[in-house]
Amino acid sequence: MGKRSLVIMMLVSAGCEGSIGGGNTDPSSNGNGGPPGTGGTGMDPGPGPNPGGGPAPTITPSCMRPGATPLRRLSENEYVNTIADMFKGKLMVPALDIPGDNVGAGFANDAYQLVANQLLVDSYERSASLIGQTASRAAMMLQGIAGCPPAAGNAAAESACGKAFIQTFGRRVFRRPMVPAEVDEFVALFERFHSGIDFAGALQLTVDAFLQSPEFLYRFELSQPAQGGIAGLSGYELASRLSFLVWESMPDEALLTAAAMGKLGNVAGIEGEVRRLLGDPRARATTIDFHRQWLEFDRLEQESEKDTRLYPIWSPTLVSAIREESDRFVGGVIFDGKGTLADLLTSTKTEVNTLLARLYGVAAPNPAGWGAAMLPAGERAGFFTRPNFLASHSHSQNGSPPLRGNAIYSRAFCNELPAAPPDADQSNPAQSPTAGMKTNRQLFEERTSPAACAGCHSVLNGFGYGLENYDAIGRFRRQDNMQPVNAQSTMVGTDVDGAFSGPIQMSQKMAGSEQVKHCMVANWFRFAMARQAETDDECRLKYLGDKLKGAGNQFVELVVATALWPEFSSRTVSQ
Amino acid sequence: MNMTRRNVLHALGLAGGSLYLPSLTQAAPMIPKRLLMFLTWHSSPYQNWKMRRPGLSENADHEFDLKALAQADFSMAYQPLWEFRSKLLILDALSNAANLIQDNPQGHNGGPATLLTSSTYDRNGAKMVVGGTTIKSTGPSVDQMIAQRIGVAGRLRSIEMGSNLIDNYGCIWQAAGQSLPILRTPAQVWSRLFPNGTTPGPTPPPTGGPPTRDDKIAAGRASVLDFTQARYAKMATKVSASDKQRLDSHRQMLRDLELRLSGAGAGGSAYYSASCPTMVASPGAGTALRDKIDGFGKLVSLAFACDVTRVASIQLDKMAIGDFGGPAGMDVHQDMAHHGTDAQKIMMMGKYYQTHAAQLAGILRQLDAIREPDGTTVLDNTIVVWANECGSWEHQTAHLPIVVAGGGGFKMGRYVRWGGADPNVGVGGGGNGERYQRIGPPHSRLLVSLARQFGLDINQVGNITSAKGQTCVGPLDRLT
Repeated sequence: MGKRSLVIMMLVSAGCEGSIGGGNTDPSSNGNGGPPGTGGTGMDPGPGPNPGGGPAPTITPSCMRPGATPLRRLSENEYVNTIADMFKGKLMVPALDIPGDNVGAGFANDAYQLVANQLLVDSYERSASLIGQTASRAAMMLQGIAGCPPAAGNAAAESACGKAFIQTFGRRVFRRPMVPAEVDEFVALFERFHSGIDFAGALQLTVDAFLQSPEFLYRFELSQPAQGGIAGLSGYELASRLSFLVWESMPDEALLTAAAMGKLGNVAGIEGEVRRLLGDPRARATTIDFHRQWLEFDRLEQESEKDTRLYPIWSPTLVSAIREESDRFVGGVIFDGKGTLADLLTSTKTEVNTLLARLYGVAAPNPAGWGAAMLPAGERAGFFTRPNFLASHSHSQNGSPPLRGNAIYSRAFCNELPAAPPDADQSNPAQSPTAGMKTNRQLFEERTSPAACAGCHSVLNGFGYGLENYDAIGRFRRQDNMQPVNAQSTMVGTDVDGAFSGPIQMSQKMAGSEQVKHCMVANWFRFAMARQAETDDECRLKYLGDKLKGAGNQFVELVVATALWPEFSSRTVSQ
Repeated sequence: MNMTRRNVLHALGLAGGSLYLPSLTQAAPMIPKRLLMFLTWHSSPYQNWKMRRPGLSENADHEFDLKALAQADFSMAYQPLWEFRSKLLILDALSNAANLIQDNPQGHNGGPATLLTSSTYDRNGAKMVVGGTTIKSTGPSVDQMIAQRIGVAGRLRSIEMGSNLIDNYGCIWQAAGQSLPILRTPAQVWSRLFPNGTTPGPTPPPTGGPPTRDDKIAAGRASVLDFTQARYAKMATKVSASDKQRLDSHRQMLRDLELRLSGAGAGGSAYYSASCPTMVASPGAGTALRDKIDGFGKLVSLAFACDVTRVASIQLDKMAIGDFGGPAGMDVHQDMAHHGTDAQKIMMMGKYYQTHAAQLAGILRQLDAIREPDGTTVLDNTIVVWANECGSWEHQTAHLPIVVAGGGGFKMGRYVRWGGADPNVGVGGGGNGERYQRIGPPHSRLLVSLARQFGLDINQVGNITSAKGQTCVGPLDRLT
C-alpha cells in the first residue's frame, strides 16, 4: 500500500467524505510509471491528497472533495506557448493565426468556454498543416527530435526514423509517453503516406495529425480508479497541471522526467519542481497574464480616445508605453521586488521610457529606452495610481470617478453593484456656460446627487474622488480647472471603510484590506482552476488565503500553495 | 408573370432549404437564399432615423411606400440607403423585450446576448467571483439556426467577420454560452473562404490526369482528418457525458472540414457557381475602416455568389471619431452616445448612424452588382438584416432601429410602423419600468419570421415566450 492509500485511510477514518484513488488501469492515462514499453519506471506512486505522507492539511471536510474538473482545451495562449516550446531550437515555427477564446467570468481560459467552434477547428488544421510542412523541410527538426537524419532513398531507414520520430515527438505532444497501440496507429498513418507519397510527405502529415490530436489540444485526466468519485492524478497529468499553471505551456523535459521518475509523488518533489518552474521567465509571463486579465490591462485599447487639444502628449506611442508599463510593473513587483499584493498596491517603483517619464514628471532613462524609475511618493502608490488604470477609466477630457470606482470595487474588492439604470446619464458632465468653472468632482457630485443615484455612487465615488488627483490620461494634478483638487473621500462597502485623503492613503488602505486579498485569491483560483469559484469553493479560497498569509503574502507562494494543494493533485470523476 | 426557376421552386414549396433534387440540380442548380446580418454597436436617437409621412397617425399601425420617396424624404440616418429603397423594409418600433425583462437590460450588457437569440442570459457567475460581468446567452442565435438548416455539407455553414473588440460583445452564438469568434481582416476572410487563393470561378475546374504530389498532400490532409476523428471518438468514450459532448462536437467539425478539404460534400456535384466571379487576390487590403468594410462586403458577395457559404455576419464595434467625422478627441460611447437632450450630440449620433447606413449601402451595392443566371442579383436572393444592441441614448432596447434589405420573401420597399409604441422612448426622460410598458412588438417575432423564410418550421426563437405583456411567439405580422 502506497503512502497515498495510507493517507486516504486516515482521512476516511477521520470522517472526511470522499477519498482518493490509487492505481491506474487505463494505459493511455499513464498513471503509474508510464506505459509498458516506453521506459516507464513503475516508480510513480502518484500524488494523493497529501503526497508527502505528513499530517493532512487542516481543511474542512467539504474542501476535501476537489471541485469540478472539466476537460480543458488549450487556451489560445496555451496553444501558442506550447507550440513555441515544443519546437524551440528545433524549428522556426511559422506565424499562427488562432482565434481568441471567449472570456468567462473575467478570464479567457474558462474550461466551460473552451469548446470547439468551426473557425477554431479549421485554424488548428491550417496551423498543423503549416507546421508539418515546415517541419518536413527541416533536417534540424528531425535530427533534434528523432535523433535520426533523413535517410533519403532507404525505405527501411526512413521507416525506422519515422517510428523514432513518432515516439519522441509523441511524448512531447501527448505530454506523456505514447502507449504501444498509439504508436502503432501513428506508424500505420506514417507508412501509408510514406509509401503513397514520400518520406517528407509522411513526416508532414504525421505532424499534421499529431497537432490535431485530442491528446494535444485537450488536457485529459483519466487516472483511475476513483473512490467516492475522486481519483488521484498520475505523475504525467500532474506535470501538465503544474506547467500549465506556472507557464501556460507544456511540461519541459525535466518535468516529464520528474513525472517518469515518480518525483511528483510527494510534496517535496512537487515543490522542487514548481519552484524550478517559477524561476523560469515563462512564470513571469504567466504572472503578468493573470494580472493582465484580472486588472483589465487591455481595456486601454477600448478607451484610448483622448482629447489631444487638452492632452497634446497623447499618442498611440504613449498608449503602448502605458500599456507596456503595466506588464513591466507587475513583473517587477512580483519577481524583482517584494512580491506582495500590498506592494502591487503601493509601490512607487516602475519602469519608464522617455514618453512615460514625461507623463510622470521624472527623469528620462539614460540611455533611452526602458529604465527603472522611482515615482514621487506623494503622487503615486501602486497599480491604481498608474496611467493604464486611470486613463482607461476616463472620458476623453476628464477622469471618471464612477468608472474608476466601479472598477476598483469590482476588480479589487470582488463586489458588484447593480448595473446603472438605463436612463442614467453616463456622459461626460459638461461645464455650464453660465455657472462658472467647476472641478470635475463638483460636476460629478451634481450629476450623482439625486437620491436615486446616491446609494451606489456613495460607494463608487468614494473610491473615484480619491483619484481626482489624476486627469484623463493619468497625469498627477493638484489643480483642476484652476481650483485645488479635493481628493478627500470615504471608502464605503468594504472591510476598510472610512475617510482617507488622496490616492496614496486610499492605496494604503486597500493594501491593508483582507477583502482585497481574498478577491485576489478568488481571481487567482479562477485563473488557476479555469473555472469560476462556486459556493462550496469558499473554503478552498480560505485555504489558499491562509497559505498566502502564512508565507508572507508573496504571490509566488500562492502559486506554490496552489500546486501543493491536495485538490490540485486529484480530480473529480463525473459520469 | 415571368416564372423564374426559383419562382417555380417557390411555387412548389421547394425553395429555401438545402434541397437538391438530382433531376433538377444536374441541369441548373437553384439559386440559394442567403442571410447576411449587419450588426453595429450603438444606436442613434430615434429622431435621427424615424420617417414620417403626412396624414398618418402616430398611434395607429401604418406603412408607406419607400419607392415613392425622394431622397430628402428619407431620414438623416437612412439617407445613404435611399438608392436601395425598393429593396428595403424599415421597421419602426420593434423592441428587444427579451432583454428588457432581464436583470441587466442596458443594451451594451444584455443586448448582444439577446439580439439574435431572444433567450434568457446567464451572467456567468459574475456575482460570485469578480467584476467584469460576462453575459452569456443560453441559446443559439437565429443565424446559426438558419446556418444549420440551410448549410450544405462540404461548405462553410457560416462566416463571421467584424472589427476588433467584438469578441467581448459578440451577437453570434453557436449554442448556449458559446459566442463565435470573428475574423478581423478581409485577408483572413479571404483565406477562409478561398483557401486555394482564388475563387472557384464560374466553371468547374478540369478534372483528370494523374495526381501531383501536391494533390496527394492535399488528399492526405483530408485523410489525416479522418484519422483524427477516430481518435476523438475513442477519447470520447473515456470521459464524462458533458466532456464527451464537447469532443463529439469537435469531431463533427473535423468531419465538416474534411468534407470541405476533400470536396466530397453532399453539395459537391450541385455546386452553384455560375455567378461566381474569378478573383485571385483578396479585396480590402487597406487598413482604414472604410477599406475593411468594403472588403468585407465584397467578400460576402463573392462567398454568396460562389456558394461557399449562405450565412454571413459583419459585426462592428463602436466607430472611432475619425471614422465618421466626429469632433476630435471625443469618444462615441463616453462622450456622445449618452447624449441626453444635447442637440449637438444628437446630431453627431445621427452622423454616426448615417455612416453605418453608408457602409451598409456599400455592402448592398456589392451584393447587387453580381448577376444571377436568372437575371436577378445576389442581393435579390439575400435577406440582409441591420440591427444593433441598443435602442437609444438610454441604452435601452425598447425601440430598435431595424432595417431589412434585399429580397428573399418579405415584401420590400416599405416603411412599417407599429402604432402605440411610445415614440418618445429614446428621446430623453423616464426610467426603466413604466415607460417600457408601451413598447412595440418583440423583435423575437422577427427572428421567427426570418427562421421561417429559411425553411425552419418553428414558432419561437429562444426560450422567452412573453415579455412586457406581449407574446414573443409566432412570426411578426406585416412583413409579407
